[in-house]
Amino acid sequence: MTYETDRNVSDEMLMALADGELTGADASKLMARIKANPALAARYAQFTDTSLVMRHAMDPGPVPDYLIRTVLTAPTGQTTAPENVSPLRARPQRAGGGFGWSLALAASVVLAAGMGYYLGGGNLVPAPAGPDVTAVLTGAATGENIRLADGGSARVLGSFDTDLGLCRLIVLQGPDGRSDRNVACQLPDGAWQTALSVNEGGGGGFALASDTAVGAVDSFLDAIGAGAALTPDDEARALRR
Amino acid sequence: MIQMLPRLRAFGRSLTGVQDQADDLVQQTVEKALRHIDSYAPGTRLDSWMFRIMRNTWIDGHRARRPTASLDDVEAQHPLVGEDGRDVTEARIYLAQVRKIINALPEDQRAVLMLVCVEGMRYREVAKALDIPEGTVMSRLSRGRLALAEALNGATRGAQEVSGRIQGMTP
Repeated sequence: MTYETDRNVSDEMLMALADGELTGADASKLMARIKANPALAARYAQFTDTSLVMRHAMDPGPVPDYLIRTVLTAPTGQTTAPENVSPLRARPQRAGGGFGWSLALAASVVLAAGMGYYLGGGNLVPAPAGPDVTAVLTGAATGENIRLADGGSARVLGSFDTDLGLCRLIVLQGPDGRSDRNVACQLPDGAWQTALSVNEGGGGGFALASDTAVGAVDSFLDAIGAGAALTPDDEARALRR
Repeated sequence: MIQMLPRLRAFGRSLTGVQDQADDLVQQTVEKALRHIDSYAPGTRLDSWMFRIMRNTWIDGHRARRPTASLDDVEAQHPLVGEDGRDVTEARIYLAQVRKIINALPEDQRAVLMLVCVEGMRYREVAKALDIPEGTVMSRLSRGRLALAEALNGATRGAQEVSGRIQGMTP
């Protein structure tokens, strides 16, 4: 690409360069022309300066906690609810009791939909933990690495007393190297269900950055009232209950 | 959806012009989206779906309301004056003027400005999220930026001077 005069360089091209959309040889050539031509540099500066000013003037600050909590706790699937009735800043309050499984479902749906990962292959219902995993959940102490029948492995990272009851954070690694972080919680009848599952990488395909996956799990644990991980003794007692 | 909150806030700000109202709008949008999650088609863009919900919610519930003075306006009219904080105060007044200029731009230009310049989305992503051609994103963005630049040139100081001032400002 060659540029005969300033007029041959459109505003859109200068803007694309300022925004990092124009790359490679085209970007280098245009930048060289800008450096050599004050009139072009002034036009280019309009785009870099406005971008800088926008960022400072409109910086929204960190995402407020109540918005994250809304994502995690807002009820799902009540399509008969009135369209326009929604209280402003009705921050969800945790009042004494637990959130129950509706929260787990909400978070599962939310995280699954938002992150392009679907629990149970498109099923938006928390998946029951498989027999292998159930054995790990009931028998393995935190830190243990268990080999699964399918060639994968499971490792318990922690156990937590939560509003949902006893929950355990485990990392499941499939035989293909794909790794998922799961929060499984024990139902009142003693069965285990997966309340949250986040893909943290490996095995190719779409995956969250590892720190994002960890952050998502942390947010979920916070939302269900999980405190610090149980000590080995407390964990052993909780598993015997 | 948690990951999407920043861009929802940016889009909300382009509609409301004020971050507090934008965050309220985001909350309403999230609640509505979750209530109607059954109508979201997996495989389509979640942000695009939620932007549509947000715009409809805004039109339904907010646009008819009487505009209220933002804190920026109040601050611009009654600046805090002090010897030590003069630079900071001037920078704040300037940023408040910038916000007024941005809020005076057409809504469609504000949306692409917010999503590209503030939220850092690629042109291609914005085009898909707003369901408009990439060329339209660029033309709106370019017109909005040039209008902003022109308005800034008419303000008390030029963008070059401001950028230095801003960098020395404590947020």
